[in-house]
Amino acid sequence: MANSAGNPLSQTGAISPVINVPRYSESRRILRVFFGRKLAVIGLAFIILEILVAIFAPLIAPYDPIKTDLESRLLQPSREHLLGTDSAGRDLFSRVIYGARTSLIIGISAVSISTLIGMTMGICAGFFGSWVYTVIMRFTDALMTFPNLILVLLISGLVGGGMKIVIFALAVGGIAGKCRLMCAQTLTIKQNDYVLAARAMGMGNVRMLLTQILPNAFPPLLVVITMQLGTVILGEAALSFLGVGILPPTPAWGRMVNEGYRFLLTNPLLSIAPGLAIMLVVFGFNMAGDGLRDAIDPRLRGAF
Amino acid sequence: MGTFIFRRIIISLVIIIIITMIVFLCMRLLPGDPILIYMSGENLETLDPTSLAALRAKYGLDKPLPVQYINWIFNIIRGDFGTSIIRGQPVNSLLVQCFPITVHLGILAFLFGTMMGIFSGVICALRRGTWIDNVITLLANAGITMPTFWLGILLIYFFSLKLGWLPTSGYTSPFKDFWLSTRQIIMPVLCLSIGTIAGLCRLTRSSMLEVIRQDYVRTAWAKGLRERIIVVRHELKNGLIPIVTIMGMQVGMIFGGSVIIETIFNIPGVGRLTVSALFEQDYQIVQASVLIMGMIILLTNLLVDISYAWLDPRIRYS
Repeated sequence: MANSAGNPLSQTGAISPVINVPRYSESRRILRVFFGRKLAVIGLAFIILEILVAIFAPLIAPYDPIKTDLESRLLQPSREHLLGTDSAGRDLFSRVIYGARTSLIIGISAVSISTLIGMTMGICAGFFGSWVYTVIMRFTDALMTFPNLILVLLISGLVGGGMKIVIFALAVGGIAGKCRLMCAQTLTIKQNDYVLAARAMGMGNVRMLLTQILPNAFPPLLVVITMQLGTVILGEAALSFLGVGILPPTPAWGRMVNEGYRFLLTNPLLSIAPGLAIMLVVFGFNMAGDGLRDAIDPRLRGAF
Repeated sequence: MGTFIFRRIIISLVIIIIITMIVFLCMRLLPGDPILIYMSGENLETLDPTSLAALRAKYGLDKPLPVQYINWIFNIIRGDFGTSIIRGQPVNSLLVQCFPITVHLGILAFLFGTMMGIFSGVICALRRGTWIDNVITLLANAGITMPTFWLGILLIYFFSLKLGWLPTSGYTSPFKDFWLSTRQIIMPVLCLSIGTIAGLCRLTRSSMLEVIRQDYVRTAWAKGLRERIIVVRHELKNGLIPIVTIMGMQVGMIFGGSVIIETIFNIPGVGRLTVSALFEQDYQIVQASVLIMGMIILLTNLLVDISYAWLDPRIRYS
């Protein structure tokens, strides 16, 4: 709901751009606070680990994640197959490793798209005000009314899954939150004297948005982006679990949990291992996001 | 206050109209012709243009989009959500069957989640830095990152398959067999509420820590009030204000979660109905259920906004 009363951001004017402090010491302070938090560092470690695993998947994985081998179906964990094999005889460990690739590609693309759109919409709404604000924010309100998962399901379920559709659906789901944050940010920043000064110097709208508003409004968005990566990966897993996400045989953690579900009694690892992978990665992004938020502006706590 | 509420209601109405448009356009502009899907289930030989046209006319699909939209809206205002093409049943009767089940689950999950979340958050804030705070915070952090479907599967694995304490799936009305119903509902409710518990715990903790530092709390201690009074009357009362704002979000999360939970636990609620209708491209059902969920969430948000303004008079009713 987009009135100022319900929005903790605009109510306290929580986000104040830091101006007086020289830039280098500010970023140094942010790094110090961030690395001072154990959980944030652990989270960052998980993220780096996932990125490395995703990049070097072919080197790490002992088997082809897609090649089926009906001779070795549903094997228990052994030295050859660290986590056993699934119902099509594919090595589970290799599939979990390659799953990191899928989830990371989807996470990064979906979040980039939604950031680009949400940021532009939010800044325009806040900067231009009047009817632009009304149209954009009411549209955002309507988007926010759908539970995120339902919205994503609606899109990808109707079109029928596949990587591009999933990315598009998850991106749409992430627009509203970013748009509202950037709108609130822009409204506060607009009132600063340096914006007035820039205006007095004859700066045009586009240049003003790019050089004055955007850089100052951006830091809190970084927190949202980090956390959203976790949310999007969770969302992709849920979609794949329901069967409308990534199409087989591409290894996706959510679908693997679903496929393993039937063999829960005999091969519980088939479901448990990919689920654990999802959880660790999401945990990483959330904890890093928490640390980043505390470092950038602790007053944002509770706002996200 | 009066004008504030009036303004909020007007804005909500505008949002409802936008929602109906989004839902309608989503269903019609995306690929897949419901009539063809319906027909492909039948004998393909009978697929001649005249009977197709007759079917289209029967379900009003032959008219231009704006007319279809207006018809749909007016039917909804009259309380008629149309007829499911694929199931051949009126959508109303399907919804009447399914909604109570989801509401039953949802209310239990909401109450359990809210109470547990606030309670554990308060404990954490009051015992900050002790082992109990560390343990609960870690669990809460795990709770917000855990995929619900995975938690559901883990619970089924341990409590149903290994220990045999609870039935794996299904739903029974509590009026029919209360004991069985309770046993069946424990795991779904736990799964549905875990996000609420974890999220509220984190939020309550940080909000309470903020309040504990305030001057009026120090004054309360200084004038020798008992701890219980300080916690309940001074800290909790103020610490809960930010919590109210995300109550609306919790309702949305529970509806979203019900889609997954009902699929795992095989519960014939509105979440599972929506998913299966999506797979069958049964757009009448999807339209109706998504619209109703959206309206319930919108209504909750409206109530939240009003109560928030009432709780915290510092807010300008602008």
